[in-house]
Amino acid sequence: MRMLLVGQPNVGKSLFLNTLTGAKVIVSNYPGTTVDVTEGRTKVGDESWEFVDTPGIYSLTPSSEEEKVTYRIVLEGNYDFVIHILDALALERNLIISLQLAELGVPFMIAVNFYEEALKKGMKIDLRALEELLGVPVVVINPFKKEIEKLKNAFKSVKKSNYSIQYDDHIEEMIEIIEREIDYEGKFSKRGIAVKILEEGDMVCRLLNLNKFENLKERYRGVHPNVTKDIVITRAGYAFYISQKILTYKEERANKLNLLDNFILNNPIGSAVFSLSVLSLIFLGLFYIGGWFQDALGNLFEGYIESLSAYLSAYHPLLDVLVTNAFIGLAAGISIAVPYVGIFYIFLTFMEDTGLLSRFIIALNGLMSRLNLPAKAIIPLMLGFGCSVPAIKSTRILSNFKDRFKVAILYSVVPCSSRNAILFGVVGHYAGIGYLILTYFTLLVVFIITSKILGIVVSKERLPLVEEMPPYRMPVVRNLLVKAWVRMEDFVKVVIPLLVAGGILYGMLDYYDLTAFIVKPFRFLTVSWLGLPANTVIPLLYGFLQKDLVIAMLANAMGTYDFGTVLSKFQIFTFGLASSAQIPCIIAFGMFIKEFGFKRALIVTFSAFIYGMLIAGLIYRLIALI
Amino acid sequence: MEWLKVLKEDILRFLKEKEGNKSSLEEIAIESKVAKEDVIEAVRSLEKDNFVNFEKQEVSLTEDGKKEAEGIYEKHNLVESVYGHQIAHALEHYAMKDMKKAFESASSPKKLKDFKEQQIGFVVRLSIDNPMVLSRIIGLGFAPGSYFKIVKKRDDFLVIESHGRLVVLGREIGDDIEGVEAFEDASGRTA
Ligand SMILES: Nc1nc2c(ncn2[C@@H]2O[C@H](COP(=O)(O)OP(=O)(O)O)[C@@H](O)[C@H]2O)c(=O)[nH]1
Ligand SMILES: [Mg+2]
Repeated sequence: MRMLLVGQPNVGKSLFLNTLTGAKVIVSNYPGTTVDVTEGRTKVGDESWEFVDTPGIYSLTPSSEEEKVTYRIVLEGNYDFVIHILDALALERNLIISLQLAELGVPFMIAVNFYEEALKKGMKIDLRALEELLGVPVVVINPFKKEIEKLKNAFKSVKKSNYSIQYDDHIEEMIEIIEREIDYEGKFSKRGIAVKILEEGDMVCRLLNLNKFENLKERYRGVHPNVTKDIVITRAGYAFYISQKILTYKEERANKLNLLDNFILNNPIGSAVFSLSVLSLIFLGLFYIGGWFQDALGNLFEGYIESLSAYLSAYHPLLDVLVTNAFIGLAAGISIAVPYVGIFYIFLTFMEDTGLLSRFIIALNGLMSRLNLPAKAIIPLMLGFGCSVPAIKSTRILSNFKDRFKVAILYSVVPCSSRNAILFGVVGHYAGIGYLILTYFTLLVVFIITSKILGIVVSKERLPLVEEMPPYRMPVVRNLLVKAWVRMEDFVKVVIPLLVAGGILYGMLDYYDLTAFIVKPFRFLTVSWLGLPANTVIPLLYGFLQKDLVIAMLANAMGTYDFGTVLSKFQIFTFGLASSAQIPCIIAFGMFIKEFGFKRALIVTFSAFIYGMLIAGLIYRLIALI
Repeated sequence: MEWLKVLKEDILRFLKEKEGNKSSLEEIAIESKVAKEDVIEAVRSLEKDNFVNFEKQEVSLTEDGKKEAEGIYEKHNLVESVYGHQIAHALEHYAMKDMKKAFESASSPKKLKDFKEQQIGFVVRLSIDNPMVLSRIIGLGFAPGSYFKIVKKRDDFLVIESHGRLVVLGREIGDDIEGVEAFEDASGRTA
């Protein structure tokens, strides 16, 4: 049996799935998006229960990337039935999804979460009445418990609901015409499909290979100019109507903001303090915790690599160079990239699960709009601190192409974890926290200037802020770790093999002494413009192929890991800046091509490189003056 | 006798729409989609309330009836303009029972941004044309008829409570949602 878990964000879908299926969770990226779809399986007797966790939606009317994914999964129909997880505390708006499932003729059941909390708040909900009205099973769940028997019983009576919404007369006429003319035989109801065609048209027709009925809509435009709006509103009216029938309130709630929310929202200063604190926390967490891991793991690996190298060089020097460098790549990945990425994603997921992330987005709204960016852009931008590759993809959560493009360009000055690793591992470690902060401050200033310029060059328009502040919740550690792992899995699986490959490649260049050819022609850039030793061009250029190897390569190029002895603190700072203000690597470049086309990718990458070098050189001169 | 009350309101509204002309019982039965016997019962009861005259199988409004019908008619139109024709029938009788007073006392809706902090109201009109923004707003609970409470007003955004949840809306949306002020005694519940 295969079941889709569908529901609004934060209703407990993932927790439900994790509790029921334990560790056997398969994670897949839904094709073409970064929105994660998780699947889990469990055996009950001799039945196999398969659950698919879909991204949270506010309704089955696709209005964002997450909603499109869920909508698509529902319409693709590769499941037996849907479990609609419903938040008893926000019945009305949750019921819209139930009504859409009923309308589409999808077999489903309703699992009510947060029922206890609703009772505690003095709400009385007549779930039997809901069951009767919709004709599908309604059960109360506790997603912390494995309630197999209860579910098993409910599964038996899952069916399609015949609850039907009556729309305005003109819309009913149009529905009738479409139902008559449509060429569709399948598992969904014809009426439901007809309503969807009127409501959104594009996706449903593409997914089910149907004709669009644009002519029909055109014909009715005179009497009914805004069909989508009327359908959406009427449906909401029905949801409201049902909730009024089944819900009674007892208690008057105090609607005051709690202390923290009041602080965050009361005035722009509170908002700024809050968002700066969050950013500083991330920064300090990365610096201290990441630094600790880097030291501990780095020392561990160094010991192994030394003894391995000593052992191998006795056989053949080439073998030694190749294998040792492969291990250096691996060590760099595990001791530098993984801790910094991991800490970042755990932090991000923690923010999301506690409810802090939405507040962070809201608090930053004013600032973001001054940067000509939609508030929501903070999520892909923060992901950019993780890895630019999935981050470029995640710009899809912004519905406007120009906004997406702007954010993607900005990744050239948002240091990803590989670049952070260089900054923390080289600049922070060998030049000190003062220079590290100076680097980030410079990047921030450049970021602000760049986004201002982009706002003028690319576009200024933006969608209004519409954001829920979910209730604060204690995150479930297991849930949180699984989610964080899902996010960094790609990174680990793609980047670490590449690091190993990069190590081997560099070993070969080094062994056959090919590096000199690259070093010379770039002296103008390194020595004259940036004031760095000529050899640093190798990590700088090669960094584009493999950013995470920059530290190891810098060590190779300079002949030691102890950069403090061969470079001045100031040179280390310039090097850090020069290696971070650019489109980071060839994988990110590839993703850029995929999302925005080859021409745009090439232009952006090339100009970002020049831009970055220009800035590094200018800052170098500026500070040298002081 | 819920149905009788509903039917009586329907009849008053129907008579009002006929602008003073008399109606036959058959006509009313067809319009209200109920049996003629039920219509007779409702009309008798309306006669007792002194809202209609019932002579020679024909029904017409009295002066009191006209006033009563006026209120019902306005409420119906308001609900209909918000929800469309079909749902208006259902809502005005059941779900919006306790909102009647609010509907009646609301002369005209005002923009969300013109509400004061801590004021309670309910949504009557959404003039948001971008379908993506609209369905997000509705998914967050701002369907017509829903209560809201302005928790915080800032230059850049409004914090609003809707169904016990806090939602932040950019100031510009405050222009596109209209509501009427609700009175707690009329609503029986807050947002
Ligand atoms: N107290 C409580 N918290 C819950 C319950 N269900 C989910 N949560 C918490 O609500 C948050 C969101 O849950 P999650 O499963 O990620 O929701 P999803 O967005 O629907 O997948 C997490 O912090 C959960 O631990 C519940 O029944 N009671
Ligand atoms: Mg989830």
